[in-house]
Amino acid sequence: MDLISKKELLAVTGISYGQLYRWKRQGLIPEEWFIKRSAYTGQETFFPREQILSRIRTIQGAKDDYSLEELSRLLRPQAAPGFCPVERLPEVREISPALLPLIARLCHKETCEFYEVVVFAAVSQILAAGAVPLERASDLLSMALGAVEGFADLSDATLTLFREGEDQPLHLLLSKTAAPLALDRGLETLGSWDLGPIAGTINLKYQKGRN
Amino acid sequence: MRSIKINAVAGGIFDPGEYGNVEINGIARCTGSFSAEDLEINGVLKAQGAVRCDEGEINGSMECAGRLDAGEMEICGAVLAAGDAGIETLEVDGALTVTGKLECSSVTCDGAIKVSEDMTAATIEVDGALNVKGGVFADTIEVDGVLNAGGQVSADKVHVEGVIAAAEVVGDEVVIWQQGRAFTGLGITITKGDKKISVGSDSGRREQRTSTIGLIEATTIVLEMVNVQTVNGTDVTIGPGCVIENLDCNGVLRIDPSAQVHNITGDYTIAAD
Repeated sequence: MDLISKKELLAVTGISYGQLYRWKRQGLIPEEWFIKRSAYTGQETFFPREQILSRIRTIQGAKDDYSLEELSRLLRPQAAPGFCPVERLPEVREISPALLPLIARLCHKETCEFYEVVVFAAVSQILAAGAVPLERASDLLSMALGAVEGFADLSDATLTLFREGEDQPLHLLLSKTAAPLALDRGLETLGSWDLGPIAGTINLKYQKGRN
Repeated sequence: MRSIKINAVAGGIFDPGEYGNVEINGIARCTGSFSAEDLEINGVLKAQGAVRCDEGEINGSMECAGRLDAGEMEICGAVLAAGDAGIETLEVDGALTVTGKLECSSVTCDGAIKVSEDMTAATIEVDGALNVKGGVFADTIEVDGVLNAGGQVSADKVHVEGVIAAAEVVGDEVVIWQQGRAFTGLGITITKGDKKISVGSDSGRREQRTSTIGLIEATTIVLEMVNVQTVNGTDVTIGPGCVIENLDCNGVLRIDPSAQVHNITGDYTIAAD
């Protein structure tokens, strides 16, 4: 995992120690992202680079429009029932239009739950990265929906795709973001996608319209 | 709604349930959980369940076997909550022991509070003693007495004029100094926006007591009589009596000549004053 030290984080983002710890207390930055490692000065704190930079950009971009409490609620979405009517999925720009017919075939209901919209957006990213061809997207959607349903905290979840070899079935692993993964050499990792930034973005952009 | 008043010397037993006023002047026991609008205990109460009240005044002693919830609670006697406690406004002049976590809005502690897990509040004012085995999380913490924390103390503003021992103290502004100690070379006023932090203005004398902390990390740090393993800050003032192992500063740095700082790193400028 690519890590960034606390000192570098403050320098790169321009935030202060006070802001960092205030956001942690408010639950905007998960405790699990504070990773302590031994250093010659005793202990140093590191963060998962992509997740923390993305989260701080999100907070900085939204903090003028929302209170910290509202932001905390939006970035740690609860499983509120009925997030988005299926007919409005085309308005969610994070979902690839190519996926919409597949989603319509898979979801025989009027509204989608929040986790489902996050999965649709994550699978769209996987397709855009070329990790999986469109013809396997239906399998991928089914697998991802099954894995993500019931996962307690999407803001701290990473989806990893792997297979035994070319033309072999895809497999999917859902884990906590900062958790190290060790797979045996017989498995080929196709990539990892953090659901936290996707969930945060979707909730921030589309939750407001629901209220 | 029923009210209850027990003046019995012994054997005053009442049922679980909802009450208007509960007043105990003798010795009483509730056989389960109860809630009350007003709770006044001048004697002894043992509840074999959870206790909830809008307003509580404990001048005697109360023990509850479950969670304790209150809107306002003033404790001049002793309270033991064998579980978590959630008290909106808490004033402790006596003693409060919570075996779980304590969540409050405002806490004033002139007596003693012991918490076995974490403590969370908007504001915490300690003139007595606060002992927390876990972390302490608040917007502002002001300590004139003693604060011991086994975990992290995190607040926008941590002002200590007494003694603090903690694994970590982090936030925006951390000021730890000895009230009443006569300063010789550290009469400091730090201006931050429209706020001013004045240190070293008191001319009285008190016994010097040293605070011990593993890590202090904040935007603004002012220390006196503190032993710290690591200090990381933007604007840092190290006053007399400090012993610091590692210091990283990336703003303005002041160090009193009598302080011991072993390793200094960062992109800092030494204050001209």
